[in-house]
Amino acid sequence: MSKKNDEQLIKDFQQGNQVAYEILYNRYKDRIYNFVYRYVNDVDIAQDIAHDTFLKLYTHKHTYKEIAKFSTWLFTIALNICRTELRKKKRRKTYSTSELSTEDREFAISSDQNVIEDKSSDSFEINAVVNICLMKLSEEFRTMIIFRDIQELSYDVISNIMELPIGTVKSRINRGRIKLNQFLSEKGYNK
Amino acid sequence: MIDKKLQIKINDYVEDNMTKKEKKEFENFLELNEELRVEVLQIKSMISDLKNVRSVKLGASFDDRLKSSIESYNNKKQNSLSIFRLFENPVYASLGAVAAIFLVVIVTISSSVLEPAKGSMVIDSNQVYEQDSVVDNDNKFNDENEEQYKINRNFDLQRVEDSKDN
Repeated sequence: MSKKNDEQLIKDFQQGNQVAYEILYNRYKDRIYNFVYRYVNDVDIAQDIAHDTFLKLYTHKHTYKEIAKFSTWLFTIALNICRTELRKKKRRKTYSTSELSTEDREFAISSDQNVIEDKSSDSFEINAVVNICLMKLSEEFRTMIIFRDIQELSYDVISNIMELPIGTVKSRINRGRIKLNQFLSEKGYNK
Repeated sequence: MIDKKLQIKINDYVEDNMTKKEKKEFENFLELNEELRVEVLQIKSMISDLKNVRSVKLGASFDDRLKSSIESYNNKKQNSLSIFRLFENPVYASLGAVAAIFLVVIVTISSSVLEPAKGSMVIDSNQVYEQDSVVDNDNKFNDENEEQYKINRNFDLQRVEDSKDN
């Protein structure tokens, strides 16, 4: 059973085989969680999104059609939940900062920067810097960089998830890399 | 601003997706653009670092949480279907069938009782009112005739008496 490919496993699961679901879950849980964590940069939110992704895989198994690769379908579910969550988070943030006084607002906006500038402390490490710099990228560049350079997905899969031609994906990934490199350089990395 | 074709070329170069000839040509091009060459080399080293970014792992509590969510989903689904599962038992199925037949019979009988008999007259209250008024008119007409008759009769009697006197 575990030697079967993803597409055969999801087919088995659609026919009621629960073991097939468990194999798919074990194959993808860390990959999905890593992608989501890099995308939202928050452990709790990332766990909630990963949970919802695998629950959706369970409850909406019949919506998968064999025309797409299973990984494309699953990452698309995760990405859509991420986007929805970030939109909600943005609305909450806009609402809460608009409620503050001018002085408080300045403090609230600069609080993230305090974390970014924490490189003098011992906790400064590449992992944290990469996360912070990734969050400074636009959502589109961030998604593509995570998919390609951290998740190591093929251009074919990325092109299907993003619904863009491969050439466009390649050029945008390169633009994203240039931006990320600039941000990392600003943080003292690459020098 | 680098154009799209060059972006794709840089991408292929940093990911080693070029033939030897293409690679040589591109390196010659980079020799002429020092700034771009430095940037491309930095990107190449950044990609290899990104691949080594520490991977985060989910704890065992995550598995338990997902398992309980799946169980509650399955329970919810089963509860919504449990009323129909009752009829899988032959006793409940027979009882259900008898109840259904009884219901059909009751509905049929009650509808035939409530339905009006064929040929029976439906009395309209407006029509009754109109009929009453017609009767009243007839009586009025008869009363007027009787009075006229009496007048005529008295007049005739008077004429007879006058002629006798003459």
